[in-house]
Amino acid sequence: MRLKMDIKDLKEITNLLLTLVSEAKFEVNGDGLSVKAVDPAHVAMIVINVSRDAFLEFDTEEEELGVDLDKVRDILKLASSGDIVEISKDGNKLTFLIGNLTRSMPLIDTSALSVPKVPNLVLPAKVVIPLKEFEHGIKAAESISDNITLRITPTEFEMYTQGDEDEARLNIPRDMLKDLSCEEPVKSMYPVDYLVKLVKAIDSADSVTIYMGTDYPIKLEFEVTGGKGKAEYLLAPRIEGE
Amino acid sequence: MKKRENLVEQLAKSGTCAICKGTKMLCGKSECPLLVRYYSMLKTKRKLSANMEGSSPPGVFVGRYGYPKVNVGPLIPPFKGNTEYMDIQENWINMNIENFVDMRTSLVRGMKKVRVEDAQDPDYFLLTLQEMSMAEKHVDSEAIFEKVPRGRVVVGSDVQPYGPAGKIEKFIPDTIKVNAKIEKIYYDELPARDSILHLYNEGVRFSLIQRAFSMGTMGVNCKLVPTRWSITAVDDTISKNLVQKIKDFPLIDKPMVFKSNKMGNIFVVILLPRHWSYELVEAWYPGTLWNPYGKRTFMVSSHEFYEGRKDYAEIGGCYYAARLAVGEKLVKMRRQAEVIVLREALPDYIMPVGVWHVRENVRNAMRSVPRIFEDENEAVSYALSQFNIPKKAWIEGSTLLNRFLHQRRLEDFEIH
Repeated sequence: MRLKMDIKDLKEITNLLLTLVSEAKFEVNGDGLSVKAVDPAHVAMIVINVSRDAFLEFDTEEEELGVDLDKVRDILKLASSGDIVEISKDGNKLTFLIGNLTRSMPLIDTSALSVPKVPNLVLPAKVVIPLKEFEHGIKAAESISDNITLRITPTEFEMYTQGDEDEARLNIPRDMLKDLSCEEPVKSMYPVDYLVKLVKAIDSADSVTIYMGTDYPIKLEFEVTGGKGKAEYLLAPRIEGE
Repeated sequence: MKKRENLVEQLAKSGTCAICKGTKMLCGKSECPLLVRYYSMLKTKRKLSANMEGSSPPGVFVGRYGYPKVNVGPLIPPFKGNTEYMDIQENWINMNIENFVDMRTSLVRGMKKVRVEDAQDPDYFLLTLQEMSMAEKHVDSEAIFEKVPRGRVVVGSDVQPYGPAGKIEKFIPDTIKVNAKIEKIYYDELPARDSILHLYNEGVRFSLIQRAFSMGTMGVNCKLVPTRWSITAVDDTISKNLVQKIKDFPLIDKPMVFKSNKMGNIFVVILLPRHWSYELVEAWYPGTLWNPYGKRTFMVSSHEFYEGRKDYAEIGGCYYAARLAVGEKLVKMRRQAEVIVLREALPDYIMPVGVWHVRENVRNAMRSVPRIFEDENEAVSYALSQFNIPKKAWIEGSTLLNRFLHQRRLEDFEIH
């Protein structure tokens, strides 16, 4: 196996996964690379699919790679932006070549890494929102509460947070959104720390597509690796009352 | 929280105790903490003199005031005999609190100022103490103090109580027989962490490892470690290693609840079939040791999620002691779980006895036969019903209970 890619793309994939796990199982085949991960609390999940077009070189058989992401993060620290990384597999070793630097690490036994089942969700409402706006809504909530409530109605998208005394609210009317489809209003509350970490890790996307229901998980879809890949992020809701 | 150990003094200073004199129970406790302490001191005092003979359990004390120049010395009761039990924390949990405090405060602390680095190049006195810290059988000793030992006994939430102290002029111990496993470590130049883990895995009891560690017998550039710091350092080191092992084990099959009620404290441990997370929640209702004046129940807690925590637990050393006790059990079961430890202090918990009590009380819980449940909600309801504190207060005070009740998981939405 030999893959060549922009360091920036490897960094984006790694950072997204690191928001949930420290080890992951990557699968590569003729179409590209894919990886799924669920956090230990089973609250959030990410699925990333990257097309072979995202790579500068893509020469591989079907492979499963168990990777220690903390080590990959260490390697990324050694690189500068604009660098190209070449990744090859030799037996049980994964080798990263950046410029004149070679760094190898043992692969993790993939049988020890569980691959999560992606739940089948029926999510009746959808909006497409600029990432910047979404980020704003989350950052405003972060200092007020552990939770953030998202709401989609036929006319607007709303993010709000209620603290003991403080409150933050972001409302975007339909005509300022790229897309909104919703018949009945939907509303769910989510743990804000997960979303804070997620928006920090998103790098390529300009906008996110949000799918939601009431007291139901949220699905966020966004582009990765400069548009040649796609990520899906699922997050379970918080339910108030007992 | 830092004020905990001076609370008895604060009460006294505020005048409450002066009016009460242990007769009116104005502080809300069933026995007066000042009196219990006073009686124990009197018992020791009767036999004290500047020249003392007694059997050290063996025991040593490393103070923290003036660090890096600290007071160290042997612990000696004013009598001879098989005194080993007096410094074996693992054997104290079934004692009643008065007998326990009485036993501990009869241990006179010898004191001599030394630098913590002196552990690397000990003089005869320090070397003797290091040998005693590694020994298991009592050491008959003679101690000559500058004056008759007196002064405050040490009582705190971290350390077990100690008796009056005196500057030591001469210390003459009989033969000391060092534990062979610790002696071997002493000569190996292993890092302290590895030494602690090695001894623990060899089955050496916690209190012996901690005592030897505090005297600077482990590590490459070893130093003396004040007793109260050494307890948490050893609890943290061992339990962190246990948690690492636990994360490789499969989840428990069913939720279970363990319970222990010793020395005026109820501990309930909830294990849920989920990945590792851990929390210790303590409830002090009005009239209990640390909430003598309050009108409402005082809840304190610290927790860690799967990834663990980096900063020191808000609630102190008890966090690490309880983590060790539950960690041991899960490793023995070869299973992983989310662990919530709930502690309610009762009014008859009249004075702090040391963090050992949390470790041993939780160990006692984990030795008991658990109640096993089909459903997580049933387990949590049962656990919370074991207390006087209302269910709602526990939930508000606990991060993990809050998450359990309100945060859904993705599999809850699986469509079958």
